[in-house]
Amino acid sequence: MPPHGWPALWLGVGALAVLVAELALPARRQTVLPVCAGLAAVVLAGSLWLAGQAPVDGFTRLVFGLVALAAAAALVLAWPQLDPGEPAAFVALVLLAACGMGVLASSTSWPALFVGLELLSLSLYVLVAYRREDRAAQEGAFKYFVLGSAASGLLLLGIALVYGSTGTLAFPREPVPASGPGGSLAAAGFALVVVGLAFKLALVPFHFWAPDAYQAGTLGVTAFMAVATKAAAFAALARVVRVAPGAVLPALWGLAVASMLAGSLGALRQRDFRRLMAYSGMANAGYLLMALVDRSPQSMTAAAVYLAAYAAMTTGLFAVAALAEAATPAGAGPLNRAGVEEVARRAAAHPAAPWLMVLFLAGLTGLPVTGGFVGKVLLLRSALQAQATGLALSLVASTAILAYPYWKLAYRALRPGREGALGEPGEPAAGAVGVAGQPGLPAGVAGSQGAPGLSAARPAVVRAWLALGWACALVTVALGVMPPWLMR
Amino acid sequence: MHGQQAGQWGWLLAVAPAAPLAASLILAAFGRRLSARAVAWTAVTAVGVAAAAVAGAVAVYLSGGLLRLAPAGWWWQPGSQAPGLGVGLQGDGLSLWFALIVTGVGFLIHVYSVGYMAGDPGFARYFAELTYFLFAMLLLVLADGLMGMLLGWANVGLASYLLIGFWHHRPDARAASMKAFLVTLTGEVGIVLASGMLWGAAGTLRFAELAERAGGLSREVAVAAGLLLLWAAAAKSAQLPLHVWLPDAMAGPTPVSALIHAATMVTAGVYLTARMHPLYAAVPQASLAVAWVGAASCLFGAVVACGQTDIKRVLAYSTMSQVGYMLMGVGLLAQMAGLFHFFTQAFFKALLFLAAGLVIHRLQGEQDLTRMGGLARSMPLAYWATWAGALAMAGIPPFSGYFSKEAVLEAAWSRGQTGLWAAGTLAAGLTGFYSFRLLALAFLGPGRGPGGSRGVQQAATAAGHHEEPAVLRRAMEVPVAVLAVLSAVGGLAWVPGRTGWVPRMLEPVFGTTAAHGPAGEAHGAAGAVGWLPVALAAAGACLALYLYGPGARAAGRRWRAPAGLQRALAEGLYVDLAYRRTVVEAVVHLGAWLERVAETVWIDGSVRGVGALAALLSSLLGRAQAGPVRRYALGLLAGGAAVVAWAVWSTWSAG
Repeated sequence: MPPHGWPALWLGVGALAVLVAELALPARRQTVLPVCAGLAAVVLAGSLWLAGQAPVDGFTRLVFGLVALAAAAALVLAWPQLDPGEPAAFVALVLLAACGMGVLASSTSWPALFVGLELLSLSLYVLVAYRREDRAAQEGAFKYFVLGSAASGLLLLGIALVYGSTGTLAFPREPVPASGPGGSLAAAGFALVVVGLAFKLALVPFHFWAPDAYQAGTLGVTAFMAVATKAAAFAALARVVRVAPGAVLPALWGLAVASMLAGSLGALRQRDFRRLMAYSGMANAGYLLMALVDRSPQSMTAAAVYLAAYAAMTTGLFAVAALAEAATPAGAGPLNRAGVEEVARRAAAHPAAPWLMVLFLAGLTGLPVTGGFVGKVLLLRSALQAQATGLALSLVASTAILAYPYWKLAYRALRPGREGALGEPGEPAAGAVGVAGQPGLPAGVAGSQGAPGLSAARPAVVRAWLALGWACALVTVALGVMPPWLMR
Repeated sequence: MHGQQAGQWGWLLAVAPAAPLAASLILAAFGRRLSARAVAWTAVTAVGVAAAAVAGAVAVYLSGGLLRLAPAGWWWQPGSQAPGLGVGLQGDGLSLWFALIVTGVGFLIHVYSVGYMAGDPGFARYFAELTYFLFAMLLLVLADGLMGMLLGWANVGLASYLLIGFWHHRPDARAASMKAFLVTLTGEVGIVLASGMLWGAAGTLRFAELAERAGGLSREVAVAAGLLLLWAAAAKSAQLPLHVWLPDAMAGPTPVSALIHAATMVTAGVYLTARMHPLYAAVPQASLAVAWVGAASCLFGAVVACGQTDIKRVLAYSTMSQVGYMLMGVGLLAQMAGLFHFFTQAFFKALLFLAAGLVIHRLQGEQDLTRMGGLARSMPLAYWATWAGALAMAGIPPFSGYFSKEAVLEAAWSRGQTGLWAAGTLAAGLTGFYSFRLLALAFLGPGRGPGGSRGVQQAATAAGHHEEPAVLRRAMEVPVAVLAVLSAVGGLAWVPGRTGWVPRMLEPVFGTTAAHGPAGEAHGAAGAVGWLPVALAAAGACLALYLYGPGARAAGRRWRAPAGLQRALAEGLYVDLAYRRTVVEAVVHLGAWLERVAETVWIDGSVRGVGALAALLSSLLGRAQAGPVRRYALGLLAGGAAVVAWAVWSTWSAG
């Protein structure tokens, strides 16, 4: 393990500590673990981050912080759904995944990159399959695992080719020349590495796993995948692209354009909240790729702003979804497979949730006074300065297309009583209000959907979710109002 | 330019617009819950603070400092890539000259409004809007670049819209506010276009940098930008051919007419053209166009004002005419003369409006001059104030208008622009006529019209309208008295050889060439030429008093103009009608056609088409997604192969 990765290893130590602690703690106190572990992760990451001991460069430090915060958010979001299962294992896996992400993001050699990637992948495969009783979750995890293994294989092949052409396992310091005898070998190797990382970023056409896996995971795991995995993979990709032969770049732009357009077009038809977020994540990963166009520090600033904003907005949206879940009376069950409509309708029952949702959706649409706007402006500027007009146009088109599903969601949340006003046949308005009127719903319904812990932990957990939502809102707006201060 | 010292006083510039803005926000948010007294105090205090801040800034400026307040940079510009675009504040002589009048006269009119608007159900809304106007106007004049000025410009337009339509239950007020907004909006388009050209050509919109680079602009750009800015100035300052909104704007409350549509906002065009003086100095044709637009408007307004019967419309056309003088001065590059006239006009026009407001207030909304008369005895303050205002407006020495108007006309004469001089001189004679026609019709002789204004007045008194609290009456009377004094003596601000407030403020901005002192200064224009405007004005005044004065009716010689002329003047020489026949109808027909054809076919069609295309593509993608895992794996491997092939092919094709 390279020295650069060591702060991340503390997360791994934390995971082991959680597993040990599980043996010591009495069984009924085990739900306290997630909180402790989450806080530990945040404190650890935060202190390392602030102490400047985290590795390499500012961008990596940002990603490391995002990963740690996302891990904490994942634990908070997943909390009530952990109970019929192995909470300690869940927490340990989240921390291990975060550890892998930290290693991946800060890797400066090919083995570190691969180990980090595998650590995070294997942890996530298990996390996605956490709800063992759910066949759909099994299916999603299975697809993720099979395809992920294939992608890892491609990545490993790529590393081998690069090693063959450069003769070293450390990242080169200069861009590898594509000319000369080993030139096309290096190009092919870097291309395969890019493919392996693109899989984690869910770039089109390596995205097929994402909707199923996102849908399979609990809210917390999905939010974690959508934010932390992408951040870490992007950081690694940025470092790889910086030294890749120039010949790889056109293919990368192809991936970016395909992701932006296919992601937004795919989002149009999604009726499931998490699948929608999967497609939105593809498009957003495509936006981030734009920052790699000219390989300049300035465009990495753009990527940093956008990544931070994306993380805040996406996590916030998941927090709102969790609130929507909480707004349901006991017995209505979690939102494991909830449609967009239902998320919106349930969010509407909460006083603050619809407005938070509107803010996050405004940010994702790139409206001013949010970090999404500033980030998109900066990304557009870096693309235009690099003469990459096609990328810029793709971003605009993709944003315009995504506005439809986003704002449909917001509209439903603000106007829960007006299904069908946008011309779509709405489901009967049975949701929050209807169920609220039936306290005597059979408990078996809740049990069959598998979240009896929801009611037990409710007030504290709901407060935590709300706090998470407000924190994300604060970051979103802060990034929109004063990015220069934050980026210094 | 002075040095960059006095930086520590830059905050004064921020206080000036911030105080009215804060008052406006407070009143907008809580106005309904506050008592009328609290509302009045909030507004008046805020404006007083602004006035004090401007006064402080003037003091700093006169002691040799140039005030600046530049923000750290745009928030979406972390690298501060476009330095010329930011919005900062600056306080040079020109900006402070305007800010001084805006806050000074603004303060008096706020005080007056407390009495005038007392009892109106929209009292708090009125002050929220009036302070909002003051904020926008101060932003306009204090901004350090076209960008900030445009922000202020647009906001005063909105404030003007709100205040003209203040009594929005009246259809005429609604129509007038819309008309004013639309016409002045065309001017904003001019500024935006000109800003784009200047940004493209000079790379900055900051005034200081523009001044340095104006000489290097290509002729075409300079002329086009100058004319576009002239368009904007004409729209805001109610100059030909865009003056049509101003008479209608009198539907707003009278203090609003006094502040916005006489003293301050309508002079924004003068500010703009004066501010862009380096540009106009570079292209004499453009600046001459400014002068001619001013002269034509000056004459036009004076002619039409002679035939109006509504007291406020007389004043509106007189404003158009007086602003014409200012533009003439600025266009002649004798900016100090034009800005001196801005200074004096602000006093005497605000005074005339406020005096008219007293009359209207007393007569319960009656504005028709032909139904007034004989108010001299019952309203001595309004009567004598109108005397002072009329003498100042007519330019009778030693009242203030004389000095400033003479300065403008003198500049025209000494620069060989005989045509401009003749137009201005003729207008001066007409000014004397319409000023005293107003005076005579409103105050002298017996009450006219059915029942006479005495009857109206008695009715008003009987209705208890007169018995308002003394403090409210004083709130209206004190500003009138102050303005009357200022109208009388304001001209002493620049008596060559004796006082020199105007050059002290403005010479650092314009240089000495813009200094053309009032008549009597040694430029060879003394004597007959210098006195001719005064003589004509006096003759016009005497004629008006003869035709409409106290003796006229007794002698049975109340003169009536030929019917055709009367109608033409009352209709404003049919400019409105021409607009309606051409522009308005054309736009209406175009709109109908666009709705029929473009809206339904092109726009709806293309939007639906794009939507359908997106849905189609989306469904194709969805089909790819629905497959089993082996198909996903195929996609993964095919995609990987494609990426590798692309990369390798790129290496080969690169060599």
